[in-house]
Amino acid sequence: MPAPALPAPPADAPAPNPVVVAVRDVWKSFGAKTALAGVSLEVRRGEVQVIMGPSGCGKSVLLKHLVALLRPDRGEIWVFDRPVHALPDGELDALRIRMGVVFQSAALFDSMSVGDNVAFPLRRHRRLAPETVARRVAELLAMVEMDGTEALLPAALSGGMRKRVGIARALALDPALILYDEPTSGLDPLTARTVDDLILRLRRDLGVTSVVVTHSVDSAFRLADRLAVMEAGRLLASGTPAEIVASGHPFIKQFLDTRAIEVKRT
Amino acid sequence: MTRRTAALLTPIEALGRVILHALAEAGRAALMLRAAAGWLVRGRWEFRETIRQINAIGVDSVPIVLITGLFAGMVLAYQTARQLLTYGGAGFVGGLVGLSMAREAAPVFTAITAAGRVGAGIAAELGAMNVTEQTDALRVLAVDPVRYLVVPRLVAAAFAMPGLAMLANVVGSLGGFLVATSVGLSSSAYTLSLQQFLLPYDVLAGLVKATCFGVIIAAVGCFRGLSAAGGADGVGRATTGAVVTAVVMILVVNYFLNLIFF
Ligand SMILES: Nc1ncnc2c1ncn2[C@@H]1O[C@H](COP(=O)(O)OP(=O)(O)OP(=O)(O)O)[C@@H](O)[C@H]1O
Ligand SMILES: [Mg+2]
Repeated sequence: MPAPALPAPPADAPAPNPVVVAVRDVWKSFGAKTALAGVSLEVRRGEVQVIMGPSGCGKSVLLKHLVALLRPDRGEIWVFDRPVHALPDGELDALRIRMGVVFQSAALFDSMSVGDNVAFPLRRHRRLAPETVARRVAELLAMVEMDGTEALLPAALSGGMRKRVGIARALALDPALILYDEPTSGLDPLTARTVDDLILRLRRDLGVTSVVVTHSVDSAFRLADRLAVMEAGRLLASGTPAEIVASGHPFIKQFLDTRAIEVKRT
Repeated sequence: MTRRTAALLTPIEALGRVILHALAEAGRAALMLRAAAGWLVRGRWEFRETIRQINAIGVDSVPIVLITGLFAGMVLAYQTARQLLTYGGAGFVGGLVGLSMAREAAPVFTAITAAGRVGAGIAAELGAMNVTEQTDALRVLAVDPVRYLVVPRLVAAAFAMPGLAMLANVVGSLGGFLVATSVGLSSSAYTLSLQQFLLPYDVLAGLVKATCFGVIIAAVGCFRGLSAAGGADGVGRATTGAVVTAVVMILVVNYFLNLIFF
């Protein structure tokens, strides 16, 4: 079937990038409730993997497994070729420093100002002069269009602003892998667009790998190199956006069609 | 048949569940303390956080400790002075007040006050951090919540509590003095008696007790806070639970420390 003599399609020509995240048949239950029922997924370096699915299908639970905030009942999780599922708590830090996590709830430290939140990882893990930290914080906040908000407390921010500060904090240590849990929910369409562009820019300029959970079909198709659709703790389908659309799976069609329905009504 | 067995089993089962749950909790609390001890032994202190906590736990508790200490000493003097004066035991009032304050009233009242103020505060703060994923954010940023949140609070409480108890000692004896002299005791009789009966050992033992209570308050508050789950409701439960558990533990441990010290 493969024809080495012929020139391969140009887009696919380079050898596939190494796998950065490998999830193998992961199961997770909370009491009687099964949150993940045999999920397998591979993300390659420099890819944006988008995960979609209805509320409560296990997207956040899956993301938390990638940073060992939750441990699987069964299955394996490999990140940067390290067995996350088996690493003891003490050995996770080296791995976590290479990852950025944007929480669905932003999870800013309430007791610290915006500036201190973003500076926190820098102060903990880098030996930098205070001016350097301040400059870097300003830079990070500018990336998410939150310039000049250093002195504010998280309580004084709107949901969308918190989300963006959360993104700035997650980017502080220049992670090679970033997990975004609904980075654009609660943002107006224009700001959402900025965040999407930021994710794409990080991939293009720095080769950052991203896993993005989103409910926005727009964002999903703008961002995704690969798209996975989850339902009730399972991956229904995974592939390029075109493949997903072409798959014709009735649930996925319905799920992706919500946009079309909305458009028709207006 | 099955229904009867079930009905018979349920209370036993329930009891078993409760015991298992308590054991599991104790185990997890022990793990937290072991991790905290590990950081302490390795000398990895969060200096700034610890200072901040000494302020929050110690300095900010001063007013309330002044009030409780003062009134504890006053009530002790009121009770003992009235009784002893009628039996001609004026020479014992100061000593009794001082000794009771040093051994019991200062450390225990201070600890119970602190359980309500400090323990509840710790549980509420860490509980809120837990349910809003801030502790997860710490972990993900490669900062161990035990090191960053628990150890500073344990250390701060262990330092602050004896200081507060000492303060209660001083104002308690002062309050005792005021009350005793107002019901007819001479001021020299009070101070002489205090000097005669109150030994440094008693004060010291009381302060050691206070240190133990401080560790209990902080440990229980941290543990309850870090195990809080389920939103504001869970934070509320963690806070109440922290106070109740700490007070009970303080009173029980106090008894056994008395067996050791006195
Ligand atoms: N800590 C937990 N304890 C018990 N159940 C949990 C816990 N975390 C998640 N669950 C359950 O697991 C399921 C999946 O939750 P998850 O948060 O992953 O959903 P989600 O796909 O992220 O939804 P949403 O789009 O609303 O964020 C839900 O049914 C939830 O109730
Ligand atoms: Mg979620």
